[in-house]
Amino acid sequence: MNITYVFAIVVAVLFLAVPWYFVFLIRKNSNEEINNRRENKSLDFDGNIISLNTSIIESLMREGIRLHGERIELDRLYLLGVDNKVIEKGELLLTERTKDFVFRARAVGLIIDAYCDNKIKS
Amino acid sequence: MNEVTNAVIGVTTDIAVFVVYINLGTFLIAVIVGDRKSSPFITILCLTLANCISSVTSGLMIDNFEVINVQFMRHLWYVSLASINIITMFSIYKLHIYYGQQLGKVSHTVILSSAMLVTVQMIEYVPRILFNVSSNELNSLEILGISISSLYSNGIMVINLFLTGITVLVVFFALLSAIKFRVSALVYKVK
Repeated sequence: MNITYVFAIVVAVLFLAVPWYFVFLIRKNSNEEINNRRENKSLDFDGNIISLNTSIIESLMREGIRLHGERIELDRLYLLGVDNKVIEKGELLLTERTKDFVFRARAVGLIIDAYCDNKIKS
Repeated sequence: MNEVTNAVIGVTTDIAVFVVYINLGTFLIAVIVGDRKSSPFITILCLTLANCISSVTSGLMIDNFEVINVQFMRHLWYVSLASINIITMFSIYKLHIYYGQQLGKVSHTVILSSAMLVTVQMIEYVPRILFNVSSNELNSLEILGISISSLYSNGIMVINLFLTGITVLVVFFALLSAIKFRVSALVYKVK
């Protein structure tokens, strides 16, 4: 058999199989992640550093946070940079519990305070 | 027949250039307003790079099609374009892991569309290379009532336009959300 045909067959089989197997693997992983998230509805913030982005803010607003085992609903959540400008990204680390919950976040080498108005669910 | 083919190539090239420009535009807006480590941004970055690279490589291949061995160029055409799509899929996945992001709906859609693009490339590659089918015979070969040659040209065009539409929508909503976020923060500060 001509080497060109062998090459073409190998390429065709690989190029048809690999992308769809990859899609299948990604779908499988994402379904597992969704199931895990369904099991732990609230985000656990105790001492954890999490990456913060718009989707996490939306999730926080929707599902509240869990602090020392207590579920807290959020009224508003804003992250303010050192220059008092609102930022949307960075690493979020819970440092202390005050009247207004204060989150200390680090992003691009800056120390950022995030203020969160909240009410404890009765 | 040649005039028709040239006209089709002309329209397809115009659409490809349009797709690249739109992608570059949306990417620039995403750089300005978007979160640069977010899932949609990573996806738009990979898609824009892939479109630019495939546009340049396909242009080079069209220019040199008659100069270099035709059979080799046929292999190169399908294999290189399909490889770019596969690399795009892997890059989107790997960059998400690197930045600790979860694959969002947009990235899932782009990965799925890239897999479809590779499949469309292979649908024409197999009969052309393995069975030595000519371009005229490809018009009469059909899959689900659609001729292979029109499935190839229209399929790639439709998927690329669909991907462009997605990127435009993503950037539009990112822009909207950035404006809303800043307005609500201003209101909060005033309070």
